[in-house]
Amino acid sequence: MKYFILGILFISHFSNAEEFKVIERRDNSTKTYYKQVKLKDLLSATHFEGKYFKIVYKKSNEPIAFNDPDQDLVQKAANVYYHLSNAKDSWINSLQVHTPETYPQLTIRMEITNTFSELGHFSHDNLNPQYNNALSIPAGETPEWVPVEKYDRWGKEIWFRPKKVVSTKELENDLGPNPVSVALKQMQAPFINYTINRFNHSLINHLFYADQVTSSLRADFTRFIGTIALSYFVVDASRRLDPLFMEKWFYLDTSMVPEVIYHEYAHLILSDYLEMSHSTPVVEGYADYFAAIMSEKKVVYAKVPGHSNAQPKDPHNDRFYHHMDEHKSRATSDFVLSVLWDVRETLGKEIGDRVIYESRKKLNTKTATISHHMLKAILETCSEICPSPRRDRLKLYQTFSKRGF
Amino acid sequence: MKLIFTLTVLLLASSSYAFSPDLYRNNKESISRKITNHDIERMNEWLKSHELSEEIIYRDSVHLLNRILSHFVEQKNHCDLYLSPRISKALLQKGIIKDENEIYPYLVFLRHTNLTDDIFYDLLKKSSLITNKFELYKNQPAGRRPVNLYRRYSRINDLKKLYEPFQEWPNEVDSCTVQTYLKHVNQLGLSTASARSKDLRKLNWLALNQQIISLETYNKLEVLREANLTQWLVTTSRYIDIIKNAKDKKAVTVEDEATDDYPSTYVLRKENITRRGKLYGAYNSTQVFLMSQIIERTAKRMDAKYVELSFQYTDDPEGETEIYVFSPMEQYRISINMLKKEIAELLRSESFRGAPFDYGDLIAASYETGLLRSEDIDQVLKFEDFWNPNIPKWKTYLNYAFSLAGTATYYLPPPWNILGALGLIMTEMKFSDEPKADPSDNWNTII
Repeated sequence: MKYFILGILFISHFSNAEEFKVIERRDNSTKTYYKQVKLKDLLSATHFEGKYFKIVYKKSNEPIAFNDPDQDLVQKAANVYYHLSNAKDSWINSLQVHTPETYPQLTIRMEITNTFSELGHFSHDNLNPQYNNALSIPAGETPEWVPVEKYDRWGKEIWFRPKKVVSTKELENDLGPNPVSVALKQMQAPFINYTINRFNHSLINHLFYADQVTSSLRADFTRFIGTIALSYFVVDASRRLDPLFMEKWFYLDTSMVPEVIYHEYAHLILSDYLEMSHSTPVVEGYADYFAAIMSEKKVVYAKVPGHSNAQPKDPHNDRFYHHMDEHKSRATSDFVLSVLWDVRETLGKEIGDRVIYESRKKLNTKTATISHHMLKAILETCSEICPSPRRDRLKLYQTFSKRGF
Repeated sequence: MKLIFTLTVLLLASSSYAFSPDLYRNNKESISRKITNHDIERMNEWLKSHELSEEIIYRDSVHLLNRILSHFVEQKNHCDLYLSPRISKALLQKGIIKDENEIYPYLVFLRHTNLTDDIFYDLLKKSSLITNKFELYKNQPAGRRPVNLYRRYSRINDLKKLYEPFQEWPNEVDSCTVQTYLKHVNQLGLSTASARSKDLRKLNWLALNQQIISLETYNKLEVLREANLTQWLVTTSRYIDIIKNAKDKKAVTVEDEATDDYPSTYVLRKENITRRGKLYGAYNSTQVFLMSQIIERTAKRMDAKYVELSFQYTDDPEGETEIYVFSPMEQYRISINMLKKEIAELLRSESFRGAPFDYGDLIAASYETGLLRSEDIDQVLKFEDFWNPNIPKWKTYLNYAFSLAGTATYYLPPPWNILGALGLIMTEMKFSDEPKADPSDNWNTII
């Protein structure tokens, strides 16, 4: 009886558990809304500590309290906890991957600016603070030669960096193409071709039908050269309009973008083969893919007013393969995501997701390239699990061929 | 114990003698090009008036065809007119048909229930028509004397020699009517069907008149003349050769039912020749096998686990070498390029002298041997686009229109020529397909 009453009290306590405001994207829209939710699987009634996740502040190991004076931090912690729970459920229920159930409680660090050190967990506080980013780190332990007082042992973790507003001029990559310049550039080649053809035509007329030509060859030549020069000038001038199409400032609060949370959690799940040692186009592409299927939106990482104005990634991007896509500087591009999305559209949702998930077993972070290892892994996995292996492999070959591989 | 042993021996004996029904059963044609809706209506009427149920007819037919064909395929000659009278006789004995004319709706039933395919149905139907007419016109008096009896295209003088093979009518076991008749026709040395038919009519009449052949032989020869045997695309002998030696011989699991209508698509619409019909008509089982092996090797190359290109820089095999490992797409492309090369080699080979084939025949052959399944056909057909892209007609016309309009803009005075060109480029961009990847842009691949 005593236990029954305690049980009732326990249930009633958690049924009245606190509600938190989290970000949600509705339907097929990339717009964001705030909604009040109750968090699942909490072990504490006062802190962000649950059966699967513990949300901590920076380097601390104590969970963030619900009544922390920094209410902004509380909202971010709640958002991260909520979306991580969703991601876990989605992996288990939709993708039938049960690895998350076997994980010990994961530590999620908020607002952390330290870089990760394989030797000591956190690099020195003053060493190159990091912002506008998130990362997943592998489990580790300080080496034996480290003094006992500095000994540390940690499991797999997800780190969310704080937001920092920076001028886009400071960034290496531009934040969006200028559509006017792109359109003009596309038209430039056929236009120049046409002009050269026309000049050749005029030259033939001057040589063979000189008596019927009214204009002089010099005048024609000047006009054609002028036309070509004008086309170059117009294209170049249009590029100067780039600032009009760019954001002046860049900021990204990763803890408030649902897809970033799914992305980082995907890294953890895939890390049994795709180690989290460093960022490569293949590893990031795989995490992007699972973030995309969980968000079920046309684009992923869309802007979140007040929290992120980063460029979204487009799974339907049909850009052709370029050898530079293999370079680690392209790890944040959406090329791999779009190729994997093509695989999904070729094989169907269920088989596509399965093939992509299983193909990780044939890849490793250090050596995997897109055009060789990733395609081979997908094709070989399809041989093993596709319902009609020959037909489906041929379909995949066609798909990859269309992407310029 | 003794009983079990006897039963086992009987079972083994019967199974070793049995001709697998899978071989003549249709699992290659998803639609029939030989039976019409009218045929099906007649078949339904026949079935409705029949005292036996459809299931019993089907079951008995499997047993009956199996028994007759098992015996037939083991013979040295596979005569075209051997099967139809024996099938008719067996059907009459079993009470499945009541007279010879009921064989036609019965044959439709066989095709409709996929117990036979279009090719075998057509052979049985044509041979039944001939054997029924043999019986029907056996004693019919000869017709009127042909006009211009001695004015012929062929220069046959020795009628006795010409009709020697028919002094004794072929028995369909040691010698075959159709083959003997075709040899007989070839002696005329005529290439057109109408000339052959006209000459044969006169020669048959002369042979009868000079008492070289009997009236019964004359009537049979006239039936054969009217049956246009030289126009037959497939003979029973060829059919048996392919189904016995090539059909489904490369299948890992035999497909139950065809789901792709590619084998039934027309190659020659007017002549009612399908892709599969052409395969049976033009190639023997060895050729079908050889064609199928090309696709088999291509598939193996595509599935290879590891492909490399090896360079040996010196005469010493142990000396300096370089190995380049192909990416999956390079492997795919080299497999297709090798497919094209092997097609060329096979076309040049002795086995195919006088019987050139196209890529579609290769697919039909691979499908026949069971190497390809229905679901694979669409994808394998796309290989041809690799070296022979299919450009739709509307696109050809559009390209012509753009080229014409492009030339026309040359003659426009400035600035209209520039504006015209701009408009043309924009329209072309609108109409053109999505841009295609240029392999030369991909520096990561060498093929």
